Amino acid sequence: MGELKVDKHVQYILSVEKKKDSFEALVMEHLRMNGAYWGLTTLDLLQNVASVDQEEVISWLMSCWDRESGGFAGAIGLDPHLLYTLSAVQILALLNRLDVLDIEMISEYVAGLQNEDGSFSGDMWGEIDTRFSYCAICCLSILRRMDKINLGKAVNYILSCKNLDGGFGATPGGESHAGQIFCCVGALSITGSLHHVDRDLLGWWLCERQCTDGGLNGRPEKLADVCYSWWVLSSLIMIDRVHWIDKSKLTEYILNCQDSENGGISDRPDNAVDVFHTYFGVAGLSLMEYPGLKPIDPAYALPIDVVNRIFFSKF
Amino acid sequence: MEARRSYKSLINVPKRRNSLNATNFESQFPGTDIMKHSRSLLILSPDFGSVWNSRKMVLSREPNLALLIDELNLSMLILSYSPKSEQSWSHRRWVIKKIAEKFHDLYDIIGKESEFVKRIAEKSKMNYRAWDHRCWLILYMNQGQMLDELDKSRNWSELHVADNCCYHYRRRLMLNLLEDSSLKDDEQKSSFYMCHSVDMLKEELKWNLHLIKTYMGREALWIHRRHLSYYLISRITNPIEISSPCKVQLEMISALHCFLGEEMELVHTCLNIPADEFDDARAQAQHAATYLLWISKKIVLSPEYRFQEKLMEVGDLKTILMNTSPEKSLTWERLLDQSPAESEKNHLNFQTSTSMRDLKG
Repeated sequence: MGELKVDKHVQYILSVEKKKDSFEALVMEHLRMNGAYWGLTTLDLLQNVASVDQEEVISWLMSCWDRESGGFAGAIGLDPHLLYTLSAVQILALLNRLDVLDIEMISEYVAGLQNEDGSFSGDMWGEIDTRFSYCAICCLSILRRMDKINLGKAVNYILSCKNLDGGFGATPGGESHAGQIFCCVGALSITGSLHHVDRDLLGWWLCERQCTDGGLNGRPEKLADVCYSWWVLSSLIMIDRVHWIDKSKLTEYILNCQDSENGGISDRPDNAVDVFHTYFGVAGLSLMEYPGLKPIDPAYALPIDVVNRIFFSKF
Repeated sequence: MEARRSYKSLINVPKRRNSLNATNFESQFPGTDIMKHSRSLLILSPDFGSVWNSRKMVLSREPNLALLIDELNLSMLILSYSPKSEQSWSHRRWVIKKIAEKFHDLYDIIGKESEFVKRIAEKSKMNYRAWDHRCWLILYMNQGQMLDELDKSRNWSELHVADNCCYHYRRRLMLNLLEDSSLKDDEQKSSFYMCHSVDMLKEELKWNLHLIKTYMGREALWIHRRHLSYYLISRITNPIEISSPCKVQLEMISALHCFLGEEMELVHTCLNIPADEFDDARAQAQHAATYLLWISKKIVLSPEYRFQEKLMEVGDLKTILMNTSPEKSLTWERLLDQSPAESEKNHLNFQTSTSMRDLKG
């Protein structure tokens, strides 16, 4: 099985940053902010975030800020959205530079996207999804502006997306999906509302996601995929049921998805690698306390020392 | 290379769009140009949200049914080769909502839309966004349309027994129909719908049983059964429903006994199928065992139903689970070996969820 190729993965992430002009990079341009968050968080978990020029990152990141609305876009000149606003705030928290933000404006933008029923729209065009509830709650919590929204309604909306099997979907009645479960459980965890979750029932559903190859899938009848190492494991940790699954088989599965020559991690063994799966693979290993990695917080999706710095420091 | 060049040159479109509110904008950059350029850009990069937004902005200025229908055609084209594009699905919902606001009658559109998702689902298996879209359409359906959808999706589901999404869709349709019927306050009507809905669930269970026996070891079929059993039992043991003139309580108890007896027999049979070379028998036994776990954990009935005795007839649950899926022994040990106080608490949790209101969620 071998071990985690830390140096190769660092090199891989740095090389992706340099290939900005390739066709692949251009068609993915709209979510570069998410890419930057995945890459930088992985580097930090691998204890290598110092290898990037932080000033350059911050100046690019701030050029994606839309002054008019207060939200962040995925790349320069594009439209703001909660998905990118959270990534931008997470990156600045990671780099300990939340001071560059206009916190009032950003929190007003986020709070302005809450709807009457407590749900959140992703942007001004109104699409609703429990992912956006997570983005809003996580973002406001990092900025310490949770008082800006109606928290009771936000929690009730998330609970209205809970299913009979203990899982959560994107909207009320939506099929349970491990990614949506992470968002809902994460938001409930941040708001101190985990007592609403049926831990045994959800824990069982999440454990049923482990396939015979050791990897985790996101829904019944699907193949295992490295990204669910993060979504499923983090949820299991938040509801205190992580000791219910076979961690050594999962570790082996993730390590088998590494490209040992050129670095990076793919969705399943022998597929092409990308930054998204590299982040989720490393983050999953971090949740399982893999040696040499920084521990990551399962709700905020940031290294634990970063989360501690936010909540135990004055700003 | 050509594609890349055109992409680079067009990437400025959304930037310029930011100044749309300026009074002289129309003369600098008319809506038709935005529609033309954004179209090619989206064909290359379907998840480029800002570009879809620039189209929404133009369409919001002068909503016109023909243009909105064109918009559905464009996203249909894009989804046909990029079926997971979340932004395209989201744009579609925005357009349909616009049509609903301005031009009310959605009957035809909803029918075509559901048909479209069905075609996409053929090519892109268990596509969460596509099925989520189809479930969203239920909001706009009347009862007749829901029944029709239920009917039409039956054949498709028989051909896709490993597709959890299509069974989830059927459950959404059924729950919406059941919800509709429970809203009727007229007593006679209510009892009519009550019998009708129990029949609907029984029919679905019968069909599902046939599929389980025909296609061994399919997780999606067993998950469907978990839900259906739960709906049926909560329905026939619901005190409000019992007091309805349609059924007397004794009949209900006997119906429940009969149902549980059949379920236990099914589990028993599936646990004892001789091993085969394809591992189907093992998978079937695994799913039967977890089905038993579901029934014992999820359905809590008062002692008069002698429910636990029935379950015990099949054997000791933990032993069964350990034998059928030893690789999940950590889960079984932890789930079943809890202190009595903890397990009581959980039972209460499970019990609180047996009203039809919760079934909706």
